[in-house]
Parts: sequence; C-alpha cells; structure tokens
Amino acid sequence: MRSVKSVIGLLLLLAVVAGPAFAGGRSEVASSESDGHPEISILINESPWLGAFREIVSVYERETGNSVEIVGSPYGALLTRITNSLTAPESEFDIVILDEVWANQFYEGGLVAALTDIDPDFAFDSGVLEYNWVTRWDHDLGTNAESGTIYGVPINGNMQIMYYRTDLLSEAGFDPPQTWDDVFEIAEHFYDPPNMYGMVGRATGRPDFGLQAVLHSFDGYLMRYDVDSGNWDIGINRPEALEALNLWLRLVREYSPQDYPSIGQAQMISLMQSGRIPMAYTVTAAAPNFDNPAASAVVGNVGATVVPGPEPGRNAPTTGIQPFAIPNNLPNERKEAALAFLQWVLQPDVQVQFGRAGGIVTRQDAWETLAEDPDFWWAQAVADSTPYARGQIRVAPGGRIFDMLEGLLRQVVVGDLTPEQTLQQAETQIRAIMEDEGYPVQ
Amino acid sequence: MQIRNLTSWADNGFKYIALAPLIIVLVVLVAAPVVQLVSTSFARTRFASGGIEFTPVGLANYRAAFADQVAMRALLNTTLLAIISVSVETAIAVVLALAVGYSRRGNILYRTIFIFPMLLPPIAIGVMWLMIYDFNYGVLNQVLAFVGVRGPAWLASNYLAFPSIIVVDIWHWTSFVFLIVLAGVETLPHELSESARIDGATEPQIIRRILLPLLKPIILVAVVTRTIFAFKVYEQIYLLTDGGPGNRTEVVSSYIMRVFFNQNRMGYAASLSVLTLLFIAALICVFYLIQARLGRDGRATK
Repeated sequence: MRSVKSVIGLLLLLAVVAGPAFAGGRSEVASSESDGHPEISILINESPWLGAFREIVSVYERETGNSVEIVGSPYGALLTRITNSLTAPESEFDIVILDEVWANQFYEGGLVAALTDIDPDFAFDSGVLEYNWVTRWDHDLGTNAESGTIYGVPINGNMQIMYYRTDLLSEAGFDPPQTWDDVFEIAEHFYDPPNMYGMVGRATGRPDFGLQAVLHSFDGYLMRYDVDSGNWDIGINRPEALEALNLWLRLVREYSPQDYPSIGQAQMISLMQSGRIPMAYTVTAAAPNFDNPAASAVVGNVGATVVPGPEPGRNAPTTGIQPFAIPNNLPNERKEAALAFLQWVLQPDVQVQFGRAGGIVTRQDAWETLAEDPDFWWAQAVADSTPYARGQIRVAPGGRIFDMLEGLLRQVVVGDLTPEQTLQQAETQIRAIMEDEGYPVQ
Repeated sequence: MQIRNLTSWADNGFKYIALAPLIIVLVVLVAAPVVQLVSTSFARTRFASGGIEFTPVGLANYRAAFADQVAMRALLNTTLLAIISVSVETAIAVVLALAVGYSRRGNILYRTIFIFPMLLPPIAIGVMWLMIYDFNYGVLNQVLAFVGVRGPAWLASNYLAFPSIIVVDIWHWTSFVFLIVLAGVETLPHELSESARIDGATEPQIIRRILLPLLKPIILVAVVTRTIFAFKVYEQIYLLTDGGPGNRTEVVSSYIMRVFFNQNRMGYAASLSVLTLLFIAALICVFYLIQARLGRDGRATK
C-alpha cells in the first residue's frame, strides 16, 4: 500500500515539475536565449509559399531565440478565423494575414493596431514596395492613401504576370505577347481543341481580378476619388469599361476549353502545367508550380513578362497583396513582439532569403537581386511590372463590391446578362453600396 | 381532503421542478442563439471602435431580402433540390429497404454497402465527384471518350450543372432514408403479409395495400428529416460549382455564407437565416397537414 502511495506521489511530483514543459499552451515567458519577446502565433493561409515562410521563421527563431507558432488555414476559412479572432475579447493570434480585398474593413473598424501606436518611429524604408499604399488607411478619405496610418506590412507581393511557353512561342516564331492583339494572334495559332487551347481566363473565384488588368489597361476604372469635388466617381459603366469587358469575355471564352465558366485560378495553373495552353496571366505565386517536376509537364519551358495592354507601355497588372497585421485586442507586450518580427522580415537580406525559398517578396531590391539568378525566371517580369501595378478596390466595403461583381461577371460569362446590362447593374449596385456605407458619390 | 390536495400539489410541483433543469438547458442552448439571430436580423452591423457595432434598422433587412434576386434564386434552387432529391431518394430507399428487409441472404452485407455513402464526409464526397465530373480529366468523360463520345462540361454547363449536383445529393443521402425505412420494415409483423399471401394476395398487392400504409409514418419522418438536411446543403456546392455557372446552383447556405463573411453584412445574413428557418417550418407544417389528411382519408375509406 505504501509503495502504491509512493508511486502516486512520485507521479504527481513529476506532473507538477514537467507539466508546463509538455503543456500545449502559449509560453508567456521568453526563453533565456531570446531577445526578450514572448512566443508569437501567426495565422497564415496554406499556399505554395507557406514552406518558404516556414523557412524564414526558423531563421528568425535561430537568430533571435524568439519562438513563433505558425497556424496554417485554408484560404476559404481565413476570413472567418480572422473575424472571430479580431472580435474576441483577446485575439488568439499575434499576427494575422489579410487580403487586399477585405483588409480595409479591419483598418477602418480599428480591429488591427496602427503600427505607429506600437512604435511611434515605425516607418517603411524606400526599398519596401507599398503597392499604392495598400497598408495605409486614411480614415477621413475612407481609402488607402500616402497620408494614411500604417496598419500592416505587405508580406505576399502577389501581382499578375503573363506566363508563356518559351519553347512553343519560339518554335512558332512569336515574341512574348506585349499587347492584347498579340495574345489573340498566339491563341488563334495554337487553338486545337481538345488537345490544345489558346488561352484561358479566370471566370470564377474572383473573376474581377482578371477583368481589372484589362479594364485598367484601357484607362478604365471601377471607381475613383475625385480630389476636386471630394466625391467618388463610379466609372464602371463608361465606354472604355465596355470595351474592356468585351475583350475580357473573348479572353475567357473564345480559345478556352468547353468548361470555361468553371475555370478559376487553380484550373488555369493546372492547364498550364499540363501543357494544354501556351499562355495565361495569373499571380506571381503560381510560378514555382511550373518548375515542380512532380506536377508539371513544362518544367524549364515557361517564361514570364508583364501582363499585356492595348499597346506596349499601357500595362496594368493587378495586385493581390496580402499584408500582415497585428490585432488590436492584444496586450502591449504581445503587440511589440509581433512588430519585432514584422520589422525583421522586411530586411533586404531576409527578403532575398525568403524569395530564394519560394516566397513572393515585397521589396524592389530583392526582386532585382533574384532576377540575376536564372532559377528565378519570373523575377524580372515582376520587377518590370511594379511601376505599372494597379491596386484593387480600396474602400471599406471592398469585399461587398467584389462579391457583387463576381455574381454579375459569372452571369455575363454564361450569357445570362449582356455586357451592357452587366455594367449598368454594376454601376447601380456600386453606387448603392457606396452610399449605404456613407461615401459621397457624384 | 386538505392532505389529499397538498399531496396532489406536491406531485404537480415536483413534476415542474424535475423538468426545470432540462428546460433551462434548452432555453440556454436553443432559444438564446435563436433570439440573438432574430435580434441581429433587425440590425445593421459594422466594424467600429475595435468591435462590432449594431444599429437597429427595423424591417430593412427583410425588405432587402425580398428584393434580392440572388437570394430568391438561391431559395428556388434549394427548394427544387430538396423536392427532387428527397423524392427520388425516398423512392429508391423504400425499394431498397423492402428488398433488404425481406431478403433471406446477405442482409448485413447489403445494409453495409448501402449505408456506405452516408459514412463519408461531405468534403470527401465533393472531391470524389469533382474527379468524376472534371471536363478534362474526369472519369466520366474518359469513359465516354473510350466509347467515342465527347463528354460535356458537367459542372460548367448551364443545363447540366444543377442535375449533376442533384445526382451527387441522391448518391450521398439515399442511404440515410434507406436506414430509417429499413428500421421500419424490420419492425413490421411478418404475420400480416404471410396471411395476405395465404389469402391469395400477390406481392405487389401486399406491398401497396399492407406494407406501404404501415410504413407511411416512418417514411414521413424520413422525408421531413431529409428535407431539413437538404436545405442545409453547402459543402458539395462549394466544392463542385461554388454556385455557378452564373448562379444556377447557388443555394441558401452558400449565399448566406457569402453575405455574412465576404460582404460582412451580419444583420442581412441573419435575416436570410430567419426567413429560411420560417420557410422550412412552413414546409414541415405542410407535410404534417398532408399526413393528417391522408390519415383521415384512410379511415374514411375503411
């Protein structure tokens, strides 16, 4: 009996002593070798560049002694988890990844911390790409502007680039496409269904992302702030928008497989990997997919250039930037720890390391360094695209407008609406949403 | 007399005291979230001052719902999906349940095979059917190509996407109705059908005149439960078509999800949820009215 009691006593003692070491919860006390910050937790989407991010996080842990927990989430569930975390009494995460499309509602609502509130001296150095001030929010104007407060750090510099098959175009005597006419000429040449298609477009899963590159290249716009009148001008129903929509519909339908209404970004990448299309414009993050011998039949045969326009120099690749932000519902100590990581990750040498591991970097100097390495055949196209980059809708109800646009574009793709009806309805609905959200509209 | 009254009061009082914990748990777990949903449906929400700000808007969300073409289309699609799927599933399930219930061999094997689809997670079913329906690489089109037919774009066609979704739903849920009806078949007294057989009744007559009327209450339970489930369809739509092409396969759940998260309109999403709840409740009332009428007609015929 006594020996049983001794064993139980020993087990209890062990549990008390060793318990914290095995506990899964957050360690609030920094390790003796760390630079003094508590462990941080980062919510990030599971994407092809997550492996690269893990690599640089492990470098950070080694260099600083700080601990970082990475919580991966499928992109579809990301917004739900972020909303739940930011509206809880205390955030589960110390850093959350946002999306250009819906980040602004969190800036406007004060759910993420202004970085200058954590460190009044915080500022970006000139090498950091700010992508039309994607992380700055001007509360008076209700949009992203240079005058805005900094709420985040761009971590995934996704931008559209035009991918093309170097081997096929070279054999057929084509140069990389520079204009939309070049695109149709190449598409016409290679179109041989069901073996080969000429071109595919993103018809579902945010089709507006593909349309905006065409729209902006025709000098069209969904909406823009008019400085003189102080009102917002809705431009989606103008003639240049109709011209852009008609051209985009040709890109999506004319030289595509029969299932074009269900083609999204994943299907575009898959068709390019399988060698069934000679070109497609999509995000930078897609590039490593074409070099993966386990999944791609076109390894070493893909090149990249700036997304075409109506004529050379009138290019307008759209950005799909993902910023990191720090929840406002955190104690100061955790906010400071999170900011320390964000400042570290933006350093030039860290960004180059991130890029080499497969990350989509957010410094111009890092892209230029990567472009010198032939393994990063897409880096020069990105570096060349940044001067032309155009942001998506930059107002607080961006998510609401994009969701509405997606509904209309999916209908015009399958012929339920004419292009004219689509743009008319889009104008009416954008106006209603903007007015509903308190924006002055002219 | 007074003692008897006191005893009777104590008996009645104890009844309520004994039930009280359960009622409190029900109110907290069921009623409170519904009350919150209903109250949110009369509000407009937005992120402000580091939290969610609620502003009362009266019936504005409900008026918007009736004017929302996509919401109405989603409701129509969901209703059609529920009616067609549940009807077909019930017909197949009754036939299978009778066959398995009265089979002399392999009863357990058939039962295991037929309930298999119900055991799979909806996401796995979505992925599986995506690989079957895929235009370029799908099994279905490869089989068609083998016999010289060029397969269509099942999930992207204006005419085939919705029927393709219904096929998946039937494949997934027939086993659920089958399981319930089979439980009913196994409780039926065999003497009734055996005596009818001795009296010269044929098998179709036994099924139509004896077994189906006896199974009617349990079939109704299966239909009502399945209809409620059908209105919650989400995963397979999300994976297979995401509501497209156009909005031909948009359903209530997927639309509410989009309104709530993508559009960040919690109040409006709550109003759509309340309307869906009322619509399903009305549908169930109709089922029970039909059952009551059938019961009366049956008794009148006798």
